[in-house]
Amino acid sequence: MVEYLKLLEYPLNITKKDLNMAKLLVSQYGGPQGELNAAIRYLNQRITMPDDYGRSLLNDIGIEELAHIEMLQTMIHMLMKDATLDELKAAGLAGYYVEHGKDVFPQTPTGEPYTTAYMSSTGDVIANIVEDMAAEQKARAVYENLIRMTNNQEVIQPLLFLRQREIVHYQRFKELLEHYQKLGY
Amino acid sequence: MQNHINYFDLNHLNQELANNQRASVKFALAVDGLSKGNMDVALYDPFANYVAKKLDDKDPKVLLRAFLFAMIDLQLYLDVHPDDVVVKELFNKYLEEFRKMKEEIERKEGPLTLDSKYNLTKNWVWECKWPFAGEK
Repeated sequence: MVEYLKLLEYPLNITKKDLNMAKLLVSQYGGPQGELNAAIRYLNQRITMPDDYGRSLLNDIGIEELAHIEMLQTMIHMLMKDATLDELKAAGLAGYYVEHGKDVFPQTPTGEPYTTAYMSSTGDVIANIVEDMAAEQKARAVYENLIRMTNNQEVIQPLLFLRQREIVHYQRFKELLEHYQKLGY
Repeated sequence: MQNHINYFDLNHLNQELANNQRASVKFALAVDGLSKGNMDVALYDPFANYVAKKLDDKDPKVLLRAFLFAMIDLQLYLDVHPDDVVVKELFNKYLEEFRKMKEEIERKEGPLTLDSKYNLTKNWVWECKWPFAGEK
């Protein structure tokens, strides 16, 4: 059971529309290194972890990723909500608008919808944790690429926050890996 | 007798938390941790020349979020270091502060969670504004 708290993990107030940035940010929601993929994968993998170290960490990071999905949805909405049709067309979002209006939809910046084919899960404790560590590094790299694409501090600050969370998650996964290696996995 | 902690008086809490830091891992104060996205001081890794803006520690919502963030980040640490009782003590502190602050904000703005005592109303009240509507 997930209990909802009506509060974003980090405050968001983006006052300037930026369709290009909205289009790019969608990637960290529904792309291969995105938060949706991470959340569902961790929540799946927690079930087959051998002890409470792994079950707890994958559970708690998985839940935090759900909060990151909420942040990205909010950012995309704030960047897009005041756009006119002409602006959407000019930003190459005419196709997006026809399919989804101004709804937030998980896909890549080039329009491929989210797919579970992104999700790697092998049933092997070590392989799963190493995969998750790589996922955190890939997400960190994508956040850095995104930060370089804008000068708007209202967007940069939450992206710096999200990037830093990948660093923390990577470290805790690394400590989990060491725990299982000590146990002989 | 336990001193009353005014949770708008961060200095008091900060002092208490600073006194707690006997652990091998040094944790930031909650608002600094939230502003940077990382409670673990040694683990903090800034990106290039970008500077994380310090959030307003006079804003009750920032404090609520900071105490929650501290709990979330210490929780991840405790998941893989369950025997660290010093950090658990810090966690407990933040949990207390979070509950007090949540009560304070819900009293003014309405329930933040389903199980809030401010949901004990005659009519259905889900009036606290939605997070995705934007906030300072």
